[in-house]
Amino acid sequence: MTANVAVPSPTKRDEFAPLPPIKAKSRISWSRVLTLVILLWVVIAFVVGAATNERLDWGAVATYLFDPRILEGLRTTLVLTAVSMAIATVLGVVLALMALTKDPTPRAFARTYITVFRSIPPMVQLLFWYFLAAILPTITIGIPFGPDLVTFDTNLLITQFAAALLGLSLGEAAFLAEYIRGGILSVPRGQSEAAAACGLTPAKTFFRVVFPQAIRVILPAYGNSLISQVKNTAMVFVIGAGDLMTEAQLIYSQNFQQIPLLIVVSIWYLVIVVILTQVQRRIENHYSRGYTRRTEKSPARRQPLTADSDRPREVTS
Amino acid sequence: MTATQPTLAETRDSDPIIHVRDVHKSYGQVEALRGVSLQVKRGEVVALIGPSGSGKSTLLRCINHLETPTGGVVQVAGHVMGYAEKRGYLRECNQRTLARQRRSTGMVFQHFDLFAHRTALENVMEGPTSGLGEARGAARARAHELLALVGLAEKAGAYPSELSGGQQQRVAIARALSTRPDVLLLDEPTSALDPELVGEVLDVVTDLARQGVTMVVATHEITFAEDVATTVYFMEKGSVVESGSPREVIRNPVEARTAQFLTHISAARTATT
Repeated sequence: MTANVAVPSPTKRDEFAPLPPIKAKSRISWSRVLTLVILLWVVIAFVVGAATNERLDWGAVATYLFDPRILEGLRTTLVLTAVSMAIATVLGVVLALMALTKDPTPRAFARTYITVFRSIPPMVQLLFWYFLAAILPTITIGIPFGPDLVTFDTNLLITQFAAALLGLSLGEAAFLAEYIRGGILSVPRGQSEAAAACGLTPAKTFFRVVFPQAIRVILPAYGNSLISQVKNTAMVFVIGAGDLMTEAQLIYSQNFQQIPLLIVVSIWYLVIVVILTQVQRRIENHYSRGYTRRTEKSPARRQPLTADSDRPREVTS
Repeated sequence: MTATQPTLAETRDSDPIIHVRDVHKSYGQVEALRGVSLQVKRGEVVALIGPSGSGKSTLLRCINHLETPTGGVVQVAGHVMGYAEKRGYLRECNQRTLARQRRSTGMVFQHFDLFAHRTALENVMEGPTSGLGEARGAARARAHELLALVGLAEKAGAYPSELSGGQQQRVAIARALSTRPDVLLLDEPTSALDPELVGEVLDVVTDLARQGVTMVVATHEITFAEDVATTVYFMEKGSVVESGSPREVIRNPVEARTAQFLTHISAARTATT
């Protein structure tokens, strides 16, 4: 064996020239230190500034955080979010299905609805429903050009709360419809064909096979929508619908503690959103069944493997 | 293990389970089936062979009406698929009736198409519970039996993504049997499998054939067709070119096109092995 063989033979790896030992990375990363210093400085400046500002009354924040009016507003905010999202979800599913049928009439309807309601800002929609009585004093259900069946006074029917619900849910439905439609389209056609071949009706096929799989795709976008909906409810203070923001505004218009009350409101929104984010993560994990490999932590239904379990059993005929 | 009792009172054992009458299917300008007729009797195993695009899959999908034929009719276990009789006329039936008619067939797909969000066991339970409306307990017991039959009793709790292709296809066979169909339709059940996994699936299908399960199999596995089929149909360009016993069609084909296809396929086989 000569030392000056240019190409070492692949079978004898010992002949490769030895490499110098590799040292674990230990060099101090100056860019990281710099980042740390700058960001730490920003945070400290902010916290110290907020804590030492005498004009900012932290006592008021503490007092109003659990004020009964604020808690009542919080309740209204949660109810508004839940109910408007529920309406928007059902409507969104219906619109998505209409947009996906072969029948051109519901398809055109869904497309027009989505275009119109996605284009108009929610604030405008909110005010629109609130002021509806100005152009439509009564709402009548009846046969066109025929007899009236029921007549409502618009001002009584569309309360502030109802106007808030309409404004928040009808527009959101248009967005959800698009997410849901995308989710349904993401489920391979083979899945619904297999369900049909098993003798499932189209309705069963949708609810048992297609939709549960679509949910996995819809959820991340849906979670985002839900979170922005929580915050969108703050807009209803313009019509005085009694939510968190309305209550805070009523209080600070009397005592001029705007910033402390806005901090109170912010704390509550933060709490809601943090909780919702955790819930969303759990739900997403639930619906990713069958798509992610189960880890050691969740060997839920894994069965023990035996050597010959994998072979077809002898069938005696 | 499969239903041996006729689904309709008037069907007799000697009547064909499947009667395909002059079925045409075209997609726009493309004619996928140009008038195919065939009969399958109870206990028969029919193999459909032929080059890709010859209409084997389309024919199978017309039998259970996953595709609606553009001409001709298909009768399965006495039902005219997709139609219901009303005042002496056959009228296109609604989706519910079609779903009920489909229950006399079970289908195995080329790409398995197991329900991805359900375990092997739940896949086999779906048809009986959601389709037939059986009680979950009974369906579960039967699903365990069927999984044992295809050799996957231990994999009941596994999701499709945790199974090999061969195992998925065996679960799919169990699923297809779960609704006690009169006939099993298999659409190239081994074409999407790695070569070393083909055997385990063909073993299961062969066992079922030996037990008298009526089947229509579209396949490229000529040896399997020869071993298991009672009748072989050779299809090309949407028509049946030749049919008969495996001995006739595969060993001594009359038509030149059949012979050519068989030589081509065996040449390809030897090339890969």
